[in-house]
Amino acid sequence: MQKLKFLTLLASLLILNALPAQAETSLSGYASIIAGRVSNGNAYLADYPKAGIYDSDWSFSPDTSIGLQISTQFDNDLEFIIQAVSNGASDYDIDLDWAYVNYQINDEFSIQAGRKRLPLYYYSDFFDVGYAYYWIRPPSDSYTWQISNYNGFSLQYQPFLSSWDVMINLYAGREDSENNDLLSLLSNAPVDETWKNMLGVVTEISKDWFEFRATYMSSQLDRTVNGITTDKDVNQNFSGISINLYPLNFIILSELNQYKRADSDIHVDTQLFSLGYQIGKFTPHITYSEFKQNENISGGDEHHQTKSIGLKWDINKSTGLKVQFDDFEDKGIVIPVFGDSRTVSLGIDIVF
Amino acid sequence: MKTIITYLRSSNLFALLISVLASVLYPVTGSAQESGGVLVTSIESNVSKSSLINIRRIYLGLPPSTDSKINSPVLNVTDIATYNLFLKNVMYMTDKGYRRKLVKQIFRHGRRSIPEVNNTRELVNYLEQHRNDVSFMPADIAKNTQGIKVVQILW
Repeated sequence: MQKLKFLTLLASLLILNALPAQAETSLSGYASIIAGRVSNGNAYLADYPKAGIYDSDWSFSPDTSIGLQISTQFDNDLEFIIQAVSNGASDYDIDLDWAYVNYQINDEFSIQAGRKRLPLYYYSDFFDVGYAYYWIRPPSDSYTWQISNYNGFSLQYQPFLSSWDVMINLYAGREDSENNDLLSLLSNAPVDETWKNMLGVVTEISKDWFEFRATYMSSQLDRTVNGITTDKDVNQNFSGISINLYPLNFIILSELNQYKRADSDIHVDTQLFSLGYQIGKFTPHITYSEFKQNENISGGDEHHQTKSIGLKWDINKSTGLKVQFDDFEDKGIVIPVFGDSRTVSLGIDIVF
Repeated sequence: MKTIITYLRSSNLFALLISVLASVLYPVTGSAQESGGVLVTSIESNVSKSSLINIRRIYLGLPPSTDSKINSPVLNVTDIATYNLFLKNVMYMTDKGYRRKLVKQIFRHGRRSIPEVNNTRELVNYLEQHRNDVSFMPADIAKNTQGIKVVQILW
């Protein structure tokens, strides 16, 4: 049944792609077909938000995803954008990552209303678009959130200053996640999670070889475990910066994030550093990433890090082949995440 | 050392060295460099001159300003030298930077993807079928190509 749903979506994408282009409608899409297995250890949590886990058998599920994006322009200022995604980690169910209306107020300001990806991390908006980065997936130690979307409003300011591009995004909204994939897995019980009164800002400044991004979000959290309310109106905030450099053939990526939930005595720092070097169509790369929770009175001590090495081969402008090796070290004692592991994964990414 | 620097500064050799260095750093050849690049559209189009910022915006998938009457842009990759000059002079980017940014614009901000053509005849046919779409090409080729008109000089 799951394979049938996946094949149905794949066939729909191919048929839609073959239709003649309509002036008002733009169709884009992506697919990542990834296989992997743990070569040493029991399991590896590769995709936190969707709880995609590799074990010692080869599997396509944890990282495989396919998405279709349709933008329909009603007039020059009003646009409806929808993105449907099917992920192997979610049993190939079809989810709506985006469904929002964009109104272009003028050349620099636009406002959006509806459902969007929650732009916490640098790669949050296009986490599933594997072609847009050289890893198999963004480093999992850094990308550990249980909430990936929100319903609400955003206001974007996007001026062009000489050779510099600037983008400021203010957003507000909430998300209710029933039987949340990640929390239910880690708690071994059904967990419902709500993030409400979300208020955030993302600022990006970039030019050809340089990108800087700063992000901040505050919200309140409600959580129910097995039908029992464990958290209510708990304040939390997230902040982070990313600096990416592309001098000559080098690619230098970095991201530092911090998450605080003061009332629960939770304080988490994540970081990633990555270096790639483009040699023609090949980009070998190495990465270090870490998740560290300050030990608190209830013993929370989640702490893990990953060293990765990989290679991306850009076959053409829309297709890339990748292979990656991840060495995961789990230092948590009270809160371990499946223990140490070594994982190999490989696959193909396509955009169209 | 001081003598060498003085000699270099006082001679044409210094200018020559700068020229060689510039040509290595920016290896651009061909028609577009000699004749400049222009924005073109169908001869039937009513597209009017636009700011370079607007051209840059639409080539990142953003909606065009209404006063320009532009519908959509088309990437002309017939001649890689012209394409690179367009990126350098209008987009302030290299090909790698542009492709990276374009993918993010499409899948991060829901922007429209930009069609590509790889020969002049295909471009003319495309512009004829999409009346208010625009593209770029070397000025001398635009001058000798039927079915299109020059909207403005880009570089």
